[in-house]
Amino acid sequence: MVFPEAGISWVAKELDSLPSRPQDRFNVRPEDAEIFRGVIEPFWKERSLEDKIREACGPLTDDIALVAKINQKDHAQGHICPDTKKWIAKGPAGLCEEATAKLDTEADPGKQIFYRSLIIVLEASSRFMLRYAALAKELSGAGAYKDDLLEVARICEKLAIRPAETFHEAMQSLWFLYVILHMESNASSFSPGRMDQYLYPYYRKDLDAGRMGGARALEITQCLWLKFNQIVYLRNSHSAKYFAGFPIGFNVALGGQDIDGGDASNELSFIFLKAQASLLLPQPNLSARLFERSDSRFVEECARVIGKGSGMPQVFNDNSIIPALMNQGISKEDAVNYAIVGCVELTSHGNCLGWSDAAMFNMVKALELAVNGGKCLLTGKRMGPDLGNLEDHDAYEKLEAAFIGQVDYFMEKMLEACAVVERVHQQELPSPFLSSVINNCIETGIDVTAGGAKYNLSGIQVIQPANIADSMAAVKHLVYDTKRLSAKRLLGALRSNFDGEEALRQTLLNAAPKYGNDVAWVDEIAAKWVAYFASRLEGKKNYRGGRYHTGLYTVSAHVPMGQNVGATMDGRKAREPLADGGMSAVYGRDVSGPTALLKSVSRIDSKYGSNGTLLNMKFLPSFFATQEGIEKFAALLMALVRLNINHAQFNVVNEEDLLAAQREPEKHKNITIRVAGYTAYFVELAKDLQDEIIARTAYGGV
Amino acid sequence: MKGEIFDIKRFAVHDGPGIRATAFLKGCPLDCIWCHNPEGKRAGVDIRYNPRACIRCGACAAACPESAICLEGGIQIERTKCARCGRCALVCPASAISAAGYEIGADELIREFKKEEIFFRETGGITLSGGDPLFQPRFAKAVLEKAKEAGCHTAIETCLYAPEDVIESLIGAVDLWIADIKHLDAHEHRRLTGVENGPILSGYELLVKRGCKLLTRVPVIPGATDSPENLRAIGRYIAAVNQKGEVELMFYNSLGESKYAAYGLGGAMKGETYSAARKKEIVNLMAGTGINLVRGDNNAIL
Repeated sequence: MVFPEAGISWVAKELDSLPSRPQDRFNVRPEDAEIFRGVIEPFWKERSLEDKIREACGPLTDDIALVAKINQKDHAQGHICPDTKKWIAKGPAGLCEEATAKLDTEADPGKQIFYRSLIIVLEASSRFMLRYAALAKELSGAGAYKDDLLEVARICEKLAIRPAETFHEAMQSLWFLYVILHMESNASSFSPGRMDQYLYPYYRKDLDAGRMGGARALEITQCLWLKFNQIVYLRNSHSAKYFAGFPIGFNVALGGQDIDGGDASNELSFIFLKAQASLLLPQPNLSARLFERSDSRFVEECARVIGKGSGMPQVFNDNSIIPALMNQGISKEDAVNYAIVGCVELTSHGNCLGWSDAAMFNMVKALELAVNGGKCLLTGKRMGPDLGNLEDHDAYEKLEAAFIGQVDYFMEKMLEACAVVERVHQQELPSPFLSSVINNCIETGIDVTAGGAKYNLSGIQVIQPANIADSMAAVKHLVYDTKRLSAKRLLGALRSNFDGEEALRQTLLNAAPKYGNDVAWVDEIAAKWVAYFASRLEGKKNYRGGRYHTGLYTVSAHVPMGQNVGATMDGRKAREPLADGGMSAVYGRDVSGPTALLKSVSRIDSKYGSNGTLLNMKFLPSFFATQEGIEKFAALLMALVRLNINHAQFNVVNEEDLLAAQREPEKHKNITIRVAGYTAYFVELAKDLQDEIIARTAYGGV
Repeated sequence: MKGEIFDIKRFAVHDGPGIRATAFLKGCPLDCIWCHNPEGKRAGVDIRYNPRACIRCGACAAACPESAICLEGGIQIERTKCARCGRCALVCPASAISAAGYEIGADELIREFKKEEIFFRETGGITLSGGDPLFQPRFAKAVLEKAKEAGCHTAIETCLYAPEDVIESLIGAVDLWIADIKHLDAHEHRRLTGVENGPILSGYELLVKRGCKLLTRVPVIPGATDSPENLRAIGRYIAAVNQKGEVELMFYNSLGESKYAAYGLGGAMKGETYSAARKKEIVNLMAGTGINLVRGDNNAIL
């Protein structure tokens, strides 16, 4: 499917290379390519969202791109947790009735159009379900699955006109919702959220009525889990580098707490974990919510499934996330009921357009400009204001002042560009179907892109605290405090990418402590700059009238973003990747073990991660081989909760596996790896990303 | 009170219950042929060289007061000339040379341990290992007592080759003793470890008599301790003096080998690691002697 209304220039450019590009290859049928070239492309040229944004922004987004990368310029936002509970309870027919009732009393012509558009898409949804009913009936004629197919037909027919009543019907209803959402919007990461909570009544009712046993519930879940892997998202080659492995982001959150602070985990939480353990596929993106009073059986079961090596469930921390969301104006009730969308982005349930990937702000590039008088180290081109270079900064505080100057300069331009992007989305990509399942859009008659949701946030990612801490710690210690190095020599070495200065580079790497080793003063540098960035965003409003807030994750963007940055003061060479994840240390530099890393991470205030944070950790499979190991891992998870760390995810592999997979990919297609906030097939990743995963620190001994 | 250590390992998960922090004390009365911590054997500094990290800058050679380092094919450290002063490690920009062994005060070590406190909870705690902690008994005692005062669970990994009064003096400060029984034949014991096993067995029996919590470990080393006769004898001995006590088998691994080269130490044992089937045989043999064999994470059969 192509979505020409969002943008086609990249499809036009890359159509022929899709089957052979390095990351996320795709085959295209020749007849489809012909239709694209002959019909679609000529019509949509200059008419798409992408064209309109370019027209409105002028050169702005390109000028700031190396520091502030603005997203959603040629596709819809997605990253949203619809009110699946309401959808299942009402169905398209029930929602249609609601919209019709509102239309009858609405005087505003604009809102009337909104309600009419809802009625159109909801009626179409019912018809869409009936097509499946007809097809299932047609297929049921002969063969072993006759009864199953007739049951499918019955359910589809029912869901078109009435709400679901059984667990099976509810699961089918859920899947229709997500299929239709993907048809409306060219976007990833529509996430079901807390399925174990809102599906539990259906499960319980079936069980009590003797209609279904646990094994059947597991089977239905496994079927849905398979479906979650069938929608793949085709990205342009550049974006595929940032978000490698076709991630689509059906994020399902398990466990956590209820509004009274009790443990919310139930039998379904365990069934969903079991489905994951049995399939080990990249989707759904399974997340476990933990808190102080999580049932230890649930925590241990999570540890056991993590040990299976699919990187899931990833772990989220109620203790720190709920207050962080409340700090952004989200009510306690909604914050307690938080879900995760896509990879690690946080949201309230069914009522929030989080616009979580508004932009990524490369602080490391901004620091480069503070060190080099506003000029790019790679090209020598002027990018930011000239606030002096490292030689001019004769005190550490002066370097900090120049850094602030560069950050402020680019932040202002970034916010300008973000507003334009949101405005054009409102004009070009209204989303009536999505609006039907986001509170309060129907209530207010406002489309979700125009600010109809109860909460309207925009998330900016601060990239990358580890590199900032390591660079600032090295220059502080070696140039300003001990004066072992002159600013002149260091600047020269950075400009030449350490040509002939290997001993100096090694000194930067080894003579100053690094983030990730529980060295308070270094970690506090990371904390300080994240806090500065967040404080500058405070009070700024996005185009929908909501708040800006910060996230600390890159997914796999640390590789391409690193390619934009010259040599850095921490001894990193030009164009090398930045630290992975968001909260992680630069790989190979956290040499004091996982607990020290967690201590470091905990020094960055979790409230600045209200848009989501990402910490990657890697353990060897032997760690999970015994009950004792499982218990120790569970203890580590609970320590993470006490440390107020929002998120962590765990890769469980060994180096030999990965090297072998690189040599003979066809024999290792089954290895899944968490790239960052999601799981991908290792052999589908580009070589440099594979290398980088292999290089990440392995914990746990042998 | 100061002592000498060569490492502090955080997130130690093989040195007792829960998540622990382990300090490795320098010096050991034994000289086991399979030792995988050769840098812990003697007091003082041991110099480690990692050629893969070396950038051949020559800073170490220039700094060496004994002229023990020459730049030939990377660098060569003439170990007989080396006074183990550690200056080379201080100047090496790439950390290709590092020094194992440094002095630390008991209070300072406690401060280091406390960094891990949030991970200890009910189950975890601190462990002294080595080398052998009983090689520095007064320092070990000071650290263990301070840790107990701070409410920490304490464990000690020791060969128990120490005078009985030393062991006695530590009993109040140790929550868990982790001790090896290596060989029951006194002559073989001397050949393999450099000392006889008499004092070790007396120490062991003393701990049992005092009712100390004791985890017994049996190192299973190819061609050294793994004869059926020896394993059976060890099993029978433990069954006789400490029947309910938990016993773990520690199968040989070859991870120590590369360390000998890095520290310029001779005498690395080169053994074959056990297959899963062979491990199972040995587990069955030991279980047959009536001891309380536990499947800890040290002897996971993978």
